[in-house]
Amino acid sequence: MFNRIVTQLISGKFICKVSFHDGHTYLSDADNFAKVDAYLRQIDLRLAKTGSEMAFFVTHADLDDQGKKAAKALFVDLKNNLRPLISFLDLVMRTARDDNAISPGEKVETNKMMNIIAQNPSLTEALRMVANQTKSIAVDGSDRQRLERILKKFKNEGYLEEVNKEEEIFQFTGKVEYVQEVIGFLMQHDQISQEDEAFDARKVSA
Amino acid sequence: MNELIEATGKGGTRTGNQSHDDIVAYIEMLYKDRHLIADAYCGGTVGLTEQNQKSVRRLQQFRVMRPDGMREESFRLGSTLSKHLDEVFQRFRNYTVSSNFADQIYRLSTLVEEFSKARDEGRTDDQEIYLSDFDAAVFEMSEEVDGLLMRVRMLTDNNFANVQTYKEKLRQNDYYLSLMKKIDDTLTALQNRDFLDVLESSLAFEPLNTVYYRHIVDRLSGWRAILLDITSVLKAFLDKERKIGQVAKRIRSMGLFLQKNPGYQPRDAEEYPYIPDWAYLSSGIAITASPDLSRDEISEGLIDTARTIPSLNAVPRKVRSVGVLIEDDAVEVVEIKVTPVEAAIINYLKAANDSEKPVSAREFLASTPALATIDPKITLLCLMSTIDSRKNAGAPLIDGLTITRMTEPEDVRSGNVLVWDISACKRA
Repeated sequence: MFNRIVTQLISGKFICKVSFHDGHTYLSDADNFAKVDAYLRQIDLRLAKTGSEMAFFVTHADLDDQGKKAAKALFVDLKNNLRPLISFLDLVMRTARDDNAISPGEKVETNKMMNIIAQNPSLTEALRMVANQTKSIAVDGSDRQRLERILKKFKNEGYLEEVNKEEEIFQFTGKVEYVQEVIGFLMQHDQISQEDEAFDARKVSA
Repeated sequence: MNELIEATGKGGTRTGNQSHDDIVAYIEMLYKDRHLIADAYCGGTVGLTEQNQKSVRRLQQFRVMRPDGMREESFRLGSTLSKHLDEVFQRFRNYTVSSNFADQIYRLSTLVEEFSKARDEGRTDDQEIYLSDFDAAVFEMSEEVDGLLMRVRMLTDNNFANVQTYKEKLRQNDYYLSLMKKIDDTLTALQNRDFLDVLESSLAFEPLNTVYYRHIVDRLSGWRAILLDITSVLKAFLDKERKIGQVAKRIRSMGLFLQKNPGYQPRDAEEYPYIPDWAYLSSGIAITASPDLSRDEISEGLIDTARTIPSLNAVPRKVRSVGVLIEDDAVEVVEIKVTPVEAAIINYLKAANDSEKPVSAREFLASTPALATIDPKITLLCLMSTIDSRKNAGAPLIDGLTITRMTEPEDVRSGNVLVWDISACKRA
């Protein structure tokens, strides 16, 4: 278990209940957390976790050199990828009509999502916008393929885990909680106000 | 049918045969009109038609169906049967799972008082009726508390799946939290020491006391445990929903902001007041491992692993047939045509290679009859060009020669060098 967890962490993966259930349970124990952290410290890394402990990940322990480089790279990456990611999360919430839809463990069913999008021109437009932002080109020009490409992209980036390949069902991983923390930081420091008029009227599913 | 009406009109005792038959007849009547009842329950109402009017009127007589009130010639199920079906099929009506327990508790006290009076006055029949009513009331309360807790538990476990919007979910959560508080008060009231003292004060109350303990007191601790469980789930749900709502709100706001500000980009990391811990995220280190073939203890394992690797599909070797020697065609002799100048230059170089004394190119070329009509300056220029080009190529005819350019400055100021002859001989 230790070996598998450390290998995954060092390779840059997030460990959560969806991606590696036993690993997440193991790291939730304070003693095990300390054990893995001590191991990682020997190679100038440290074990970190998201606010609600939905995901564990590795950061640089050395904040002067390697750490700063990593932080710079992360902010550069945010410049390029924040917009499509937010658009995608918003699209999922709108199609599921559920604020809970982007919580770790929540399912994204391709067929169900596509049906809802197809019946709503505004959602179709939103899907095409996400496709443009993520450069998810549909070879056959269909919205279905656009959606598939988008889901695949976010799966490759570790935000989704494909739990049923045949029925194309995905689940959000703990990495979304990490993104939520990033967004919170940006909103706080870039003076972005929390306008949300649609919240009260928005319908949510069961 | 008339018999049934007459029979039910008589009332009858609870245990009498006639009453039993009445109940069977009544259930059979319901069965006969089962499709109509189901339609009314599922659709909320049924319209009166020629086909169903007889059944509707019959059901109306037994208060199974009532006029809708909202639409003419429409009927709906009576609330008692409707509630029964709700319970059987676990259909939840919003905010219906509540009961006025205070009234019921007050009724129990009244029944005990009336029971006591009937006993004091020697009215045995009335005493039995009060006992029976007390038993029914206690059982009903017990059932209601049980059912109420079960239904609220299901609602909470399903995260209030019966409603669609967040606000509704949160409102329901608040409502059931306050309801749980009321049930808690009810349970405390049911355990009221004064009432229990009355039931225990006389042997005459023994039957009441037994019933009350069996249906209420003995179950109180179990109900309290469920109540605590539901309350903690409700509180956790409330807390979770608030957090989720906050996160979703933040993402929507961010999305809205990005839409309104197409030029926005997060700043560089150093431009923020501080760099948060999460930003030092490691992008990952690729790890590869190779087996240490020198370790004897793993050799067996490696062999086993190697065995599991499927062998490659053998590529069939092509068998080549023995060939036949084909003789080459006769070498084609190509005659290289050389110009008279080239031939004279080659001859000069050959002559220089054979001579140990310098051979004057000007004299040699001038003695060649083929060049008689060509300006000696041109032939000398061609020779110099040949020597330069072949020297670079490392030609054998030139490599072994000592070549001297016979020059004299035409004009010191012009910078030109005038070559008037070249002499070459075999290198010493």
